Amino acid sequence: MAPHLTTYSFPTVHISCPCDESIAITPKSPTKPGAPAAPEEDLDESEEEEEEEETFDPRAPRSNFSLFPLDNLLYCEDCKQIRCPRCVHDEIVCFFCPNCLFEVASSTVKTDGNRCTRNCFSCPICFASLVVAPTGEGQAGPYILLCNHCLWSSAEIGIEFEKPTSITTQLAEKLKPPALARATTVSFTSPLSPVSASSESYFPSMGAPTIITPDDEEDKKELSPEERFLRLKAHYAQQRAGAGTDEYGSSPGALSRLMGLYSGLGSGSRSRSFGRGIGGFSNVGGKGKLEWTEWDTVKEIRDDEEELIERIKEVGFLGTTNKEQRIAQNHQPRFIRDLRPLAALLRTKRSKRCRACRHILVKPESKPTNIRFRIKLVAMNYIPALSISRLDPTAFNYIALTPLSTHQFLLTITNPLFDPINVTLATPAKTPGRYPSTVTILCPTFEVGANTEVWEEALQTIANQPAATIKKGRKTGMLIGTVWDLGRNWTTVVIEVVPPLLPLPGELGEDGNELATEDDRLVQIPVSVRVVYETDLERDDGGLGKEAKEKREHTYWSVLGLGRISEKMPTKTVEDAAGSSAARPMSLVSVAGKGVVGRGGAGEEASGGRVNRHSVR
Amino acid sequence: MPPKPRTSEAVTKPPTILASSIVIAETAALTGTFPIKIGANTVIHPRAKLTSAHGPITIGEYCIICERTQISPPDAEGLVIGDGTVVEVNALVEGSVGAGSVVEVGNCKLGPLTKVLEGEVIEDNTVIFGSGQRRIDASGTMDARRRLLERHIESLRILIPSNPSKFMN
Repeated sequence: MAPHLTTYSFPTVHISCPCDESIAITPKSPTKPGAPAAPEEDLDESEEEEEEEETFDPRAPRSNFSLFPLDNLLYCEDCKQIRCPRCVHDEIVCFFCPNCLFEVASSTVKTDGNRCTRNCFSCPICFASLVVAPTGEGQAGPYILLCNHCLWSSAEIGIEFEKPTSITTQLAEKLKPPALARATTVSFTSPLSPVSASSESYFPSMGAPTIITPDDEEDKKELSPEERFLRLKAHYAQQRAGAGTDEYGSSPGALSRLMGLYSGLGSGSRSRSFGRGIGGFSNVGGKGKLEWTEWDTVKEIRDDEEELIERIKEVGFLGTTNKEQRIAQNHQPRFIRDLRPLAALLRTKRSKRCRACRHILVKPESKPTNIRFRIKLVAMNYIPALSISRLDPTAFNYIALTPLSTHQFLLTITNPLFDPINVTLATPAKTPGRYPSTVTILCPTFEVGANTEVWEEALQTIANQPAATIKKGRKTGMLIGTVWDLGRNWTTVVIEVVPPLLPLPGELGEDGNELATEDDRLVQIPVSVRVVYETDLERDDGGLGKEAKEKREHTYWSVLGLGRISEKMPTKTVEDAAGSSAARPMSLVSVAGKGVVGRGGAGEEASGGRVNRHSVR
Repeated sequence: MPPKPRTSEAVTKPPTILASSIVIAETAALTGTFPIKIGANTVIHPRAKLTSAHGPITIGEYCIICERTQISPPDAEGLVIGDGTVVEVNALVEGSVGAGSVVEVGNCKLGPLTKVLEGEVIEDNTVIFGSGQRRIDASGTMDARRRLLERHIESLRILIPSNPSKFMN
């Protein structure tokens, strides 16, 4: 089997968030939240539907962005709507260092950057966290930063510390390039205008984009980020002083220079060196235009960098950095020797808000050491969970479903609510796509018990046990309109799927494209789940009114990924199996003709054609 | 049917030369016919496997052999693990390892290079980490690391109940 097939994990259940329609500012009525993603042209048979819903197409390009596993979803109680990561709003509660769990104030993050300023560093080689280790006798210094995983230590780049505390300041002191120390005393020459003469002479006209040409000497020498920052800072301080009291610089030169800063990025007259220095830009377009490039592009060696080549010869391949190591560093070093310990990146705790009604859905405790949540409205507590398994417990191969033979799956619906729910499942008889599979849900309408406490059931008297009266397909065999099995807060029904026969991989159509792509081989079944339940009405004073009941309804589309169709042609045994069950598809014709199975159609189906369609035991 | 009696080869104790200050767990497995020599202050974790069926094993001083490691020399030339070597969980060592090295394998089976293959000689101060990545430590902090290792061994000495008499013969 091809190796990439192992990456599949079946079965999958994804739930569609309706937010791809639009983020409604006013919450939509909870009765009709169905999310048609792409119109289905062959859906002309929905006569039993007064609410004209279209089938959700899991293969539509937009569906990719609206399908989520249930555990990724939140639920807004006010909108009565699922909320996915796309339709919530993140707010940062606090910043903290993941290494020392120290909370950092947001003002400090603004001034000092988003890295830990205490003793937390990670290894530039393997990104594990570094420890401060003494190198002298006993516990005496000098101290080094040591990686316990790959044994990299700061001694490798020649850095040792006198004391084991405030490593960040010591490190900054040691890493300060000698040029910088010199530069602080000497007056700055701006990188923008190397000769800081009267700026007007550089900007003869206000309107035209300005050509800024640093002299070539400056261009060749790569400045460290710190140096560049200090130079820029001093340059602007100088400019402001020159502008006098007017903060925005009313002098034409200052203004045009500012304009040039922005317009120059797009104009062809930009100097090369400035863009290269910034790091995000590079001048690879050839037309003199600056283009955004990725950080991890190949770092070329230009002709004038022969000493680099010499150095590579010297240290060998092992002495150079790999891509991850390079892009993690500020100065993008080429050699292992130029790596610096990385200060630990801060992390955030976030609260989430509904975008429609601005109510808070998730709010963690603000202390980094506390992992509890104050508010946590996860969809799992509001929406019935679906799970899929094969009916035949010995058939666990989901990645090679035999074409044209009937596969039976068990769909279990688990109710998280404290009230019993009525569930109606609906699915198109043929799944959307070029090669549709035939789907039948044997029992589309059923009840799922309330999520009561486990002991409550035991305390109930035997007299009022409604569950005993419901026929279980597990015992009686598979009947239409009969659930397979049920328990306290879950019910299992059977789904039958007949995958289509696909052209072999590599078979090309007339237009030269492959007839059946890998995507066509996946059996994805859209199922609309409609949940109706009655709950105690919540009164304005917050209490629950015992007599007032409120009927609630919730509908959502979910997509069941049942498996992958095998490339193998159906073998003889399978044909036999299909032949023995030849009568079954006949009985399904009436159902299939309706297009959408299960919307009311199953009632008469159950009464009219109560045939023992397939007895398993 | 009664279970087959074990072959006598599996239960033969290899001739061992154990220093008095070693820590060796009772559940460590020392098998084979060639001699196994373990230097002073070395720690053998539970369920480490040292198989000298094809050649002698020599382990230096201040080594840590973690659980589920397999050390098996491929031929009669044997295998030498130098002083101060740490062989971490689930590593497979079939070649000689120089002093002060760390053989560290989290997921030995996955990365083909995480094994020290037959006859391979790992130089001093080599680190094998991650999925088979190797580097030679050039920081010159051997003394500091040796002290850390000695402290590590001291703490293991308390944690691992030692039973060298089981492996004496």
